[in-house]
Amino acid sequence: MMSIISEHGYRIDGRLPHQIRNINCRLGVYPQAEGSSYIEQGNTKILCAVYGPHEAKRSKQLQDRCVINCQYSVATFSGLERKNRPRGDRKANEFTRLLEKTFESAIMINAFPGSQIDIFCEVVQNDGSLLAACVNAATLALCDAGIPMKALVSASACGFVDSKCLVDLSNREETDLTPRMTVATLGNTSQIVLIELENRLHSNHLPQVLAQSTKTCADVFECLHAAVRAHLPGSVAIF
Amino acid sequence: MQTQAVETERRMIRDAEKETDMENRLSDGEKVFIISGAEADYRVDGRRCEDFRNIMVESGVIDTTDGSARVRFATTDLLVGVKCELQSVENSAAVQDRIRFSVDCSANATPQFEGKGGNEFADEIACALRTAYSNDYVVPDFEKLAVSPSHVWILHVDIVILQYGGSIIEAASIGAIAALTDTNICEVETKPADENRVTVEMSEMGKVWNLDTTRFPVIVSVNKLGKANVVDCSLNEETCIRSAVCFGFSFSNKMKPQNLYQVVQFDELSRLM
Repeated sequence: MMSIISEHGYRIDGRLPHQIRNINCRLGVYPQAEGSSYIEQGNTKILCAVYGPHEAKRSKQLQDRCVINCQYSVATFSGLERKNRPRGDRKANEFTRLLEKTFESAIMINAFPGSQIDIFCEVVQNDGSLLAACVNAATLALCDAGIPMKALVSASACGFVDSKCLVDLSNREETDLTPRMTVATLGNTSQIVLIELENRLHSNHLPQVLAQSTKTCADVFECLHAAVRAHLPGSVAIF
Repeated sequence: MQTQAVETERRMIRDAEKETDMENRLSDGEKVFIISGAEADYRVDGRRCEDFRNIMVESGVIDTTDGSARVRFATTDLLVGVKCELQSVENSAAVQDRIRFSVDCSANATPQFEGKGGNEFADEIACALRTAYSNDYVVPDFEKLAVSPSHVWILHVDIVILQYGGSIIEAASIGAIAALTDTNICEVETKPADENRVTVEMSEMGKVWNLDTTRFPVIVSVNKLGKANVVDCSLNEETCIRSAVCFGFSFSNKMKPQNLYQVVQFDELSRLM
């Protein structure tokens, strides 16, 4: 068994514990969707499309705000092992709900009563930190769609190994034992809109992990913000 | 005479509406425009009835697969990944479906595919591919996939529809060929073990072989737009189709159609005649 942090303090892929992977992203990849994005965080690759706001189904309609409808789906060939189904398993449903809750707190939902916004995430290649990457992809797609949000949401995953915080975990670091936390914050602030913990973490370590997560979210925010700013001149403003 | 023509036209439109519960609905006027245009051999995007759109194929796009490809036809976008799996079975000769197809309609393509919305369409495509590949002629390496009497390579060809712009079946068949051509299958050695069993070991590190894909089938669907036979329909044209027949062709090395292998009927053939 290879150790997750080497004796010299480097990780398997040569990163330092607090270092995130390269983020490559593009906005407006699909012409048919209102907004779309493609994000690469290292070898994790995600496509996201946003449809709406459009009229919601009668049974789903809410009179004071809009409904956020997400679908998280993983291509069967995306991981090292082949998956049998792209969606519908426990994990996918959990992620779907988490994404919905996250964006319910980030989008100005009261601006669109009775309507619905669809956010669809498709994982094309899986190399860890999927939930965080999905949140980042969805933020960019929502931006591209021009849906008003309180701020850009940025997310990061943070693991805790040998009393050190590891950020932006890759697939090989996501073992069954490492406690890992996904945190999403609003804008460049420490307002948390999503928090999820997998495996067990001692409560004494929680402040440390949380602090590192928020800091990483700020780093990711800078990347997303730069991408949005770069995309802006090429897009058309609608008044 | 004229009333009859109008009546036929109306019936045509009604039929077309029945066929497609899938995609964007066009007005009657637009449908008539597309159909009568096709009958005069002119299509909305300037093509003739037998013209294809530009096809773009990229292979080796996904690192986690053994072979992959991305196919684009204007706004159709498909991602194909192949994963090889060495399975232990009772009798490898009995395993006929060594190349397995699965299709997933991503909701990214259209919100109608959300949840189970795309399953029926996906099954139709997967079934067409399965039929086209399930004969001795098209897979020359069929025997080679059985490593030993108890071990067989299963190639999972998984197709994700990322963008839906018509001609999915054509794109899927091209993507399958591209991805399977790109697929590296591990060289293995078999060694006899106890009780007539066989163990499989990797031979030299990193040694791989590729499938002979020269005979893999290309599927083309011919669609009936009014009286015209049209290939490679765009999304709007697909809304007006009365019936469609898919043909899978396998080619010899000389690139001449050898055999018409399977006819996958989407609709009654008689209506096309």
